[in-house]
Amino acid sequence: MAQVSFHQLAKTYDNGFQAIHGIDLEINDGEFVVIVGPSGCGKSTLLRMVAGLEEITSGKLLIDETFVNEREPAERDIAMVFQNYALYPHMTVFNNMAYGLKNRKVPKDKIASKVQQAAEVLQLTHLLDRKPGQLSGGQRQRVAMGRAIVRDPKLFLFDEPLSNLDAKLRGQMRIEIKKLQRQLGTTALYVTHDQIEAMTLADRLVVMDNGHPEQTGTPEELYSRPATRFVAGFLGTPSINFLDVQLTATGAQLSNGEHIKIAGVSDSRTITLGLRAEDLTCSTPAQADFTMSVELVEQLGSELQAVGVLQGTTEKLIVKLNKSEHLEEGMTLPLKINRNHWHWFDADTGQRVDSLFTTQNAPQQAIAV
Amino acid sequence: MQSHPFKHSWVPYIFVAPQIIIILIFFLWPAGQAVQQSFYREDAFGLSSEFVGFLNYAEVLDDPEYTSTVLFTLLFSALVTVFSIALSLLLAVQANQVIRGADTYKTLLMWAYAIAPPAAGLIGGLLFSPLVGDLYQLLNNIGFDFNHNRNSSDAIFVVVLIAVWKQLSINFIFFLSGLQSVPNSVLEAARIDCPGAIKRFWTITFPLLAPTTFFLLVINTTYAFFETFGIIDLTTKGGPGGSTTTLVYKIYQDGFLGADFGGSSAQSVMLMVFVVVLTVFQFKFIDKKVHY
Repeated sequence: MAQVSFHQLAKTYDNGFQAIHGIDLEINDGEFVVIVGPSGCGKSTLLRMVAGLEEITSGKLLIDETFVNEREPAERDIAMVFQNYALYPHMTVFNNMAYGLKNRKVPKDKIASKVQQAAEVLQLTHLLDRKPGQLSGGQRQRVAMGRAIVRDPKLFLFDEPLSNLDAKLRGQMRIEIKKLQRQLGTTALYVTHDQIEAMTLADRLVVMDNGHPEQTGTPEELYSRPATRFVAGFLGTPSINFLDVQLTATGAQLSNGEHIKIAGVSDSRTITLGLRAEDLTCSTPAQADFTMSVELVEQLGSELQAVGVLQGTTEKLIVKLNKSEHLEEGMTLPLKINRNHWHWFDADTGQRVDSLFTTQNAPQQAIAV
Repeated sequence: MQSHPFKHSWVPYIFVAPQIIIILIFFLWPAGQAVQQSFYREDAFGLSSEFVGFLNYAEVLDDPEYTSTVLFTLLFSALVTVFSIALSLLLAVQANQVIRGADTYKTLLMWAYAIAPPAAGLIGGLLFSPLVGDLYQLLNNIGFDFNHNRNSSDAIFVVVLIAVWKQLSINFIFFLSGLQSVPNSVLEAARIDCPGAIKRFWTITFPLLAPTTFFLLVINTTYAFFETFGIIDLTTKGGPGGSTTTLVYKIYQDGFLGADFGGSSAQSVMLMVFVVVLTVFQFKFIDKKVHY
């Protein structure tokens, strides 16, 4: 269990490519922090810098207030679970788990009891004599977890540990990882590109793009108050709808000429409006904010999903609706915006803009980021 | 699909025929002749021969020179195998870590593979020649009383050195490709689990190279037994005093120079049996410790 601090951690490769641009982050004792982002955003590099597998170009990495930049991976008291498990193929499951302890000169009987204990937690007891080649993907994943937990490290590092598993197993393992981490109370840093994994596992989430941290916060904060257009677009399924609008004195003009009435507009620029699929509802033409042309209706069982475009344009829209709505492909659908949950982003910088309107129209939940 | 147990097409036999014919002509036929000849004794002019049973074998086994040849062959192949494997492993591990100019470095290390054993022997012979040899001069200048024509341990040093040098390249290639097939993430996991680089090498990397090492052990032993003929013939000619005569070289000396066909045939049959036993031993006892 430990606290971890990043102070302006940065990584530049020899060829001049800057993979990580100065990240600050405080991970509290026992916290589960997930770094999420598209591939190539630098999230794995960052994790490997914490592990010591990748050199830190500048900045400071502190584990329990100890400066560890220069320490070898084995001397940082961390344990890592790799994407492809990275089990030692020539060793039995028992030896895979015991290897780290043996090298730390732990007495033999203690090793045996620790491995036994971990094997019980992970239901590996009957597999201890097998070699990794004789195990299924899910079992290998458990062994990799076991190898991490037997050492009681200060920090768990997970590098997309579930991406090689099939969807069902992934869901199960996700729950097990979370339960295990809660039970052990070990601080964890987890990297994934899967936003559902990120949302469900994280106490706190860091969304990264191009080596920059875009936003840090609880999954709920990031979902309901994304700080940038990128974060809004990255989190949530189906992904958020973006509409380009022109602000006028009485509201916002959509690209098809429709007009969303908003009182107290204090600006007149082009801006991006982000609307989640569940924050739009059916309405009457008179009360609607805009109209959608429905191209496809998807039955999801518990609800309906309408896929289409903003009428008269090619701007895509996806709306989640009550399953009792009568929808047909090809119809026009008047929609009303839930004004507590709209997100405005600067069209150029992609930053969230909250100061466009007088307070009664601004998003109500004001959670500090 | 269930194939009929007796009706086979003749086409597959045609495809394997060239290999079978080569084995028949170049291995089974001469081997059979050697076995046959080992039971006969020819007169000095090769005009007549008589069946003598196991007399040739008994004479060979009685000969103290044969015993010393066996001992030298064992020593020689052990030295060549151990040194060529150890050195090439060291070189491969180092080359695997080189980043800048890696290809040049690797190519240079593989260079010697292209040299035929007799050419290697010739080069070695010249390097150690008392008349023009640079290494001969060097060793004597730094205080060794070096002469491989008179001193048997010096002669052993020369043949082992050349044989190891000749074999390094091929071992290096195998070890390098073996090292490159060790998954990077496994090595990284080991870096987290084990602080010492040397211990990591012996507990993770080396066991993962075991199939390669085992394969090289077998082929290097065979190499030291059979393919070092050219090196020995061009440097020491088995001397001084038979101290660098391997079993193969003795077969050549007794058979072709001494014209004792029966005796040398008996030796070659024994060598054949010995190598088969050795290989079986290697597979049986070492193969079990190898993780594939």
